[in-house]
Amino acid sequence: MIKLKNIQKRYNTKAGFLYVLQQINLEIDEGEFVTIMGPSAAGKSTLLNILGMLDHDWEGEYYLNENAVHELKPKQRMALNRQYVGFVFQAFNLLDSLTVYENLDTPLSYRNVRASERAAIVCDTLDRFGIVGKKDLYPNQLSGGQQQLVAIARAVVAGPKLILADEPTGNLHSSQGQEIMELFKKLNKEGTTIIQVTHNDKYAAYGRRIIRLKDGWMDGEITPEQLVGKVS
Amino acid sequence: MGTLLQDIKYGIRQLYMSPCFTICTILVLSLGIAACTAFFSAWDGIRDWSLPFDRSDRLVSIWSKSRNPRHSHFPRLNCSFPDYQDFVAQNTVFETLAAQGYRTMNLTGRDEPLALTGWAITDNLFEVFRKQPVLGRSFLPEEISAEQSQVVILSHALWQQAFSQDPDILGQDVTLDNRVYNVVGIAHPDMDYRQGFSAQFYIPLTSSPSESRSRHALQVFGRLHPTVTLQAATAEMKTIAARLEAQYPESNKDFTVLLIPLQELLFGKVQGTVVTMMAAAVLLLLVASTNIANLFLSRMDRRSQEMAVRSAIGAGRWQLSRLVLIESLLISLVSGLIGFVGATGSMGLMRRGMNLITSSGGMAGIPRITINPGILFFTLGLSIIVTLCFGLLPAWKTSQTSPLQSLRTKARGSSRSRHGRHLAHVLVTAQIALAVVLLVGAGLLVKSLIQLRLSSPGFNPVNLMTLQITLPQSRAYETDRQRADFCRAVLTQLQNIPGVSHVAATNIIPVSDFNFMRGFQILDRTSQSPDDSMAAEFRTVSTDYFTTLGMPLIKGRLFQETDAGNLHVVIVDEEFVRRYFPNQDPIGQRIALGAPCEIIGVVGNHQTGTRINEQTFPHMYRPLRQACMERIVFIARTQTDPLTLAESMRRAVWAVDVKQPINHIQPMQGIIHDTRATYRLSSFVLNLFAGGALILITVGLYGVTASTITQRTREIGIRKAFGACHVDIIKSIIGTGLILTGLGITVGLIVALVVCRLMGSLLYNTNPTDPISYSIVISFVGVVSLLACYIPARRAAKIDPMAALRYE
Ligand SMILES: Nc1ncnc2c1ncn2[C@@H]1O[C@H](COP(=O)(O)OP(=O)(O)OP(=O)(O)O)[C@@H](O)[C@H]1O
Ligand SMILES: [Mg+2]
Repeated sequence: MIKLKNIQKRYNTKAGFLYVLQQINLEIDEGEFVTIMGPSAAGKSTLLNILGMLDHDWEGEYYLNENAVHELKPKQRMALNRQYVGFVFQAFNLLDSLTVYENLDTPLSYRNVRASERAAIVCDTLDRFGIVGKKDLYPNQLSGGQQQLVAIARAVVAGPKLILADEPTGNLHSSQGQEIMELFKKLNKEGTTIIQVTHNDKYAAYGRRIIRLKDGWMDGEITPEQLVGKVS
Repeated sequence: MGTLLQDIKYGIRQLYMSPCFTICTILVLSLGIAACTAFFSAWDGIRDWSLPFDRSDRLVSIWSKSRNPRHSHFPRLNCSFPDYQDFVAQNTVFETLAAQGYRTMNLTGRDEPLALTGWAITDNLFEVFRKQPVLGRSFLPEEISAEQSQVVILSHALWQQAFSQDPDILGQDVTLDNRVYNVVGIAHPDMDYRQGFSAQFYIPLTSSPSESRSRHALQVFGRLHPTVTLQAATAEMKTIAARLEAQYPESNKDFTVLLIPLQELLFGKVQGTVVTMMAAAVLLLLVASTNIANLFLSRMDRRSQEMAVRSAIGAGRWQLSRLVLIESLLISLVSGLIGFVGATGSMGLMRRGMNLITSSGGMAGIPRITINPGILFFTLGLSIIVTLCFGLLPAWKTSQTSPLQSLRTKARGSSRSRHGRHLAHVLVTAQIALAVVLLVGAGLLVKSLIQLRLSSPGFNPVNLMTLQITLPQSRAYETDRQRADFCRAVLTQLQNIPGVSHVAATNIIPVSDFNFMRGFQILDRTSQSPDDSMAAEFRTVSTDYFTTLGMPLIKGRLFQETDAGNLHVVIVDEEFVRRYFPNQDPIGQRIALGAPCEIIGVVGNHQTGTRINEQTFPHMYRPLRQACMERIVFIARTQTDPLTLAESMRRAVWAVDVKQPINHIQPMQGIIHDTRATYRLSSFVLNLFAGGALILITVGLYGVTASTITQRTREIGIRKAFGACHVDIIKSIIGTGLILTGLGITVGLIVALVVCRLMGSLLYNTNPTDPISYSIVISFVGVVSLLACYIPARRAAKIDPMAALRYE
């Protein structure tokens, strides 16, 4: 499904070029559950943004199901994003002026889902995340953990083929985090490809593959078993 | 459709959730729309105003123009009858050329005597205007060529008012100045096109072969041939004038002609005032626009982030644009509605104001000022476009860069992009500069008004009552002597009214645009060759005139009852002495004014005309008994409110001649007040606009400061956490505001120094660079800006560092 060849990302700073990602070569098949790990500033979010086609400014080749993303125009990239991706931001990025319900509704409205169907999908999702009671509240009336839940719900609501989650459990209580992971696992079973970034080894182990990044370089790949083994 | 409704719902909520932005934007926009619609509708009404005549653009007025410095204060003069006849005979550019001469006559033999003004006209006058009488006929050529023609055409208005629209009026006789005239027609109502100058009657302008070429008493109007341009016509008429100058040097030396389209003649007078107001309206609009731009900029970053998030979760360009579109439509429509209500509400005021202005220029029939839907839709469309552009900016920015970039800004909690803040600062500075220009203009006008109020017209106008009459041209008032006797009789009657302390009579009311310049020669002056450039305003006054008005005697003596004898005496004013007897004692000097007259006294100067900045004219005064004209103004100084004596003053006149109509009776202060009406209006409007601009810059500066603070909340929190105290934070925030204010004021002052020079003619006794007005404006803007920055700064100083840091 995803094929990255020599992806490279750099910032032009006063001190010269700052390479944030270098020589990233990666293949991810449909239906995989991948975890990206690495120390802070390793470039995890950067990579995820590139995968989500939110970042247009990088070099290398990126194929998404036969689509050569690197050859597409920004507008076409956003169309692909709409077609495939559900994104969970590290900083939630909920729309402040919309209620929880409406925040979930917007991705659907952008995908031209009929209004009658939309209501059903949104209610279903609210139910699944256990936030039916909060549906008429605004983001600033929610706790950080609740906001994170809504942000994840918003990512999955349109039924994306690819979920990109940047530390989706960062603000969650461990039992809630567990629930999210179970949900991801279930979605993954149903065929959704999931790529997540996390610092938590326990959650990382939900991924079938664990890719490690360090200072912008790929720092090997391990299996969850290896991770558990390393920990113990 | 469903999503559209939803988008509208979201749009409304979005606006509701940022009430400060929404209210400010709507306020500013509706103010702009209302002012723009009202003023430009009025402007349109005035500009579109045209004379009610067929092809009125072809109508031209023809004037004599003198190159002689003696006439320098007359921009143009009427034509003389012989000149008019030569123009008719020699020109090829006019279809028809007609003339009219001013006449006053008293209508008697009916209930109440009426003082009428009218024109003696050539037979083709109505043909020039293409407005034939609605009843009866125009004058016949033989009625013009006859020595005496006792026929009259009544104006439509007079026919309605005085003759209750009597359908059998034709053929009836009316008594004018004790002579019988036969009514042959009723003029077309459109002939009353010129307010304040319209005729109540028309009589034939009978030609007399002895008419002098020096008597400039005729207004000449012509209709150009369809193919002739104004330039061509002017050129030909100038050639004719030059020919006449060569032919009749003793009368026509230094005279040429001036052609002014009729439309321009009437419109030209009001142009200055109207243009000043429109300029002020445009300035206000500019301030409003920069304000709108700034309001939108202030939430640009938040909008950009929102757009980025929406784009990241799948919004397409059109879906983003639609949000903005709906929002700007909502704002514009609400503002448009409020603006429309405001404009409609102000239309009555507008109409009154414009009427005041236009009637000062003699343009009749202006009240057709209504809201011009075109202008309303134009301003509405403009505001939609402006709000749309500024609203689309973040959407456009999002689609240009990757959404990531906008998201980053938020994630880092950094302030608004440096670019945006620079732009906001430039806008605030520009706004303050524009407001300073408006304020300086308004300030200068206020200063002028104060100066005007403080200024003395040269006499004491308080408790003075004036009463104007025109004696009929009848045998009873044929000679100076007879007219003077009438005056004396009325003065005695007036003197007997309880409450009247002094009474006087003169031929021209002290403050009026009625000029009566007369040339004279200085006698016994050997050193100088005869100089025909000496002239002064001529007045005949009764003995008590100067005492009644309270004009100071500078030198010599005033008139005495004994001056009625043969000795011709004249009193002059200081300006007269300054011009014609510099460094000399004028007392005892003699001037030739018809007969030789001896200067016996010098009095103070006084304001002659009604215009604000008129130069001081020299005056000479002769005793009324020696030269009394038909036009007489009685002036009474009263001990109480002069209005209470109006009725007894009327009766005093009728006690002498029961058939004598009274033209006008008004307190002197009222007359002076009336002459300043347009002036007060433009000052009022400018001040209104300046006030609006002041509010706008307050909102603008406040908005920018407040939004900077919102963006700097985190930074301020951190600073406080590390020990910054209130004063440090207030200082750091006010500092920026003051720098912008200082910059804006400086730029504004420079522009004002240039622009306000153009206002020179509107100012009275006030220098366009008047330091007092400027310093008041500077301190005013300074204080207002300080407040606009201080209030949000104080709020910033109170930020709880913990709350601010928890924000992220
Ligand atoms: N606009 C920018 N200009 C310069 N450098 C940048 C910019 N944005 C990001 N970086 C750098 O890119 C590097 C990678 O950032 P990234 O956000 O991908 O890290 P991360 O692995 O997600 O870290 P964390 O686990 O803390 O979220 C960092 O060193 C950061 O300083
Ligand atoms: Mg990260």
